[in-house]
Amino acid sequence: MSARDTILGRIRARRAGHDPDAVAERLRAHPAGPMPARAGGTAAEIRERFVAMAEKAGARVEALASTAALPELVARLCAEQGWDPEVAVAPDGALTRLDWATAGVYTEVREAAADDRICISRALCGVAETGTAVLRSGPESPVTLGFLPEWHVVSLAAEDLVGGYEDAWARVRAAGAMPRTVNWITGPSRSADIEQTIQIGAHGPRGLVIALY
Amino acid sequence: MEVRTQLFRSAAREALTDAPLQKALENVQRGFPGKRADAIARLPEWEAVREHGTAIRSHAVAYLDEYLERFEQQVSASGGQVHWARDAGEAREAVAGICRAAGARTVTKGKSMATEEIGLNDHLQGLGFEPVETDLGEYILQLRGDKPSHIIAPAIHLRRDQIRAAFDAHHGPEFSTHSDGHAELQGEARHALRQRFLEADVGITGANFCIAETGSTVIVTNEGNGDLTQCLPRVHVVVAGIDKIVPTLEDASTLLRLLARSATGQDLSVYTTFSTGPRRAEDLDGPEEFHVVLLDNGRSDMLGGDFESMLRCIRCGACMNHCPVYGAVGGHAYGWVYPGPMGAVLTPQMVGIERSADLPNASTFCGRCAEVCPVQIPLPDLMRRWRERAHDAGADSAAARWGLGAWAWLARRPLVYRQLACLQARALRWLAHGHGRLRRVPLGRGWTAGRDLPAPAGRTFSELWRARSGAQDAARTAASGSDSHERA
Repeated sequence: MSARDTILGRIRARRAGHDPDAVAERLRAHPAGPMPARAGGTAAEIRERFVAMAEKAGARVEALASTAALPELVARLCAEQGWDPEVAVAPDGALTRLDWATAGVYTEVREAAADDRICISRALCGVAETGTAVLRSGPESPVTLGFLPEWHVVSLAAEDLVGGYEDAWARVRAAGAMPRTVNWITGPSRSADIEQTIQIGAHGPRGLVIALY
Repeated sequence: MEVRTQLFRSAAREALTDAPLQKALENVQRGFPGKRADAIARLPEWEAVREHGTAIRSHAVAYLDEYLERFEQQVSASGGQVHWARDAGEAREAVAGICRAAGARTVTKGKSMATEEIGLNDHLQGLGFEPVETDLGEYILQLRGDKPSHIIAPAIHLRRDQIRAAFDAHHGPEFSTHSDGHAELQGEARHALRQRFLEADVGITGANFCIAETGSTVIVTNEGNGDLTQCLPRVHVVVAGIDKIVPTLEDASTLLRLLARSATGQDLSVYTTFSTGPRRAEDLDGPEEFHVVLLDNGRSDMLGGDFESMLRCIRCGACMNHCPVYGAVGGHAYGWVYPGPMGAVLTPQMVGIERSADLPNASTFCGRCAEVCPVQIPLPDLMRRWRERAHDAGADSAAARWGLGAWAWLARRPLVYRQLACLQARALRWLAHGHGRLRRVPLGRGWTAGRDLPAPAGRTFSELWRARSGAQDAARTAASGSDSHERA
């Protein structure tokens, strides 16, 4: 007997569930659990909470008047860090059509490379309850942009802010089949593995900037 | 991983006198419980979420076969492949087969207790592959030839100077910062591991959850190493116990509200990643192959029996963070992958109670583990059941068996029991010479080594009770006597 049949056979002989429709029903309805109050509220409250929670997690939230201000912000970040204004940008029309040249930022449209300083991608939505950016991988959103660089800049529209994780799943479902990855990102990389002392910048980005417009 | 559970007593004794370890363990007791309590205080709905999370895990376990089948279908539908492993050997072979087929040389790994459980690193190394741990804690342990002592903070038993020494022994001059500062050590590891991430052919991670609805596996990290491990190499292999199944994305969300708060006291970990299949045709990055090795290794035996509730465990580590025994002896004393209360229940199942009978006894039964468990596993009850089984299997010590046998003989003979108790109470009182406490008692050296025994007052509980109820009876008779007098 195959390992698969052995394991499933043993489980079938011992499991407690007896309702023949229970599994199909749960998968069909995918009910939400108890929603924390902090996952609700008006659009203004959700925005305020998102910003507060993201900053608490160590992210830097930059409010932009519009997405057109993103190249300026990136130029400023490069100057602050003393880096050449060379960045990798996700192949997402909403990012690539911006006027990077005027801001003096040289862009390459691609996935991340090993020595990238700043990479820029766009979030599907942001979750207020924990200040989490939700990214959906795809041709226009390479995953490596969020993990290889020193700094990761995430562009996020205020209208894409939601209250709780369940609201984010509704957005993911609406966007089509599950992508290879859905990435929840809450603040910059860190570790407490050395004497339980939290240090920012373990293997992922040392800085997370959320450009909220 | 080598099983050393039978050495618990000697390992625990050594740990108690290991001053550097005791200092490191202070970090556990000082850090984790307070952070967890604060995080929970910030979520007023905690108990409701906890109830629901417990129900989700119970439901998934009750229909485990159906959810596993659905998970497998969905992994296949998204272009991945599921491999089933009855035991550690089959799981090791499945992973080795994938590495061989990929023509792999370097294999990066995210932190995974399931791969510790199956002893994967030694196996891969023996076959000529080079496994590289990428979680900072696990990386340090690998350099030292050391083992994890905590399921979420694997190197918690180490101090900075030990980490500096490990780096000095393994890092070339191009990486060394020659510093033992927290930031410098971490930066040095980041720098040294970067190249390994880039050159890896296969990336292996565990899974915090496997979602049946979508065929997704979920990993939770703070460092980002798990993501670099899975998005850079050509092949991504996930090793997960069959108990990791949850039905839906919504169910995973509820459990994620419990996990980080219980584990590190964060509202959510930095990176929560849901992986579904290999890279899509138009994707610019991500692995070309996606494999999930589903590991049984004794888990299906727990269904329908005394230990089924243990299958709810989400491996947050709260039980060990709050355990006075873990806090005193650390994780290594437990002798295998899973320490603390959850390990005292899981390890006997996986390595056999004959070899691990001391673990369910390594508890004061104070109950804090069950209090803080986010999925309400009655850990002390389960440890008690293992104690019974150890006794039935003859696996407990000769002294314990003799003692229990003697007590049972006496307990069934109330008259002898009472007489002996009277004798003992008086003898101990006499031995105390009116000091009210005893510094030594016959056969009780272990107990009195660290504290005095309060001396009995000279009479037993039953004697006092009889005297007290005798006095009450007399009072009642007197009272009812006066009643009847009045009525007349």
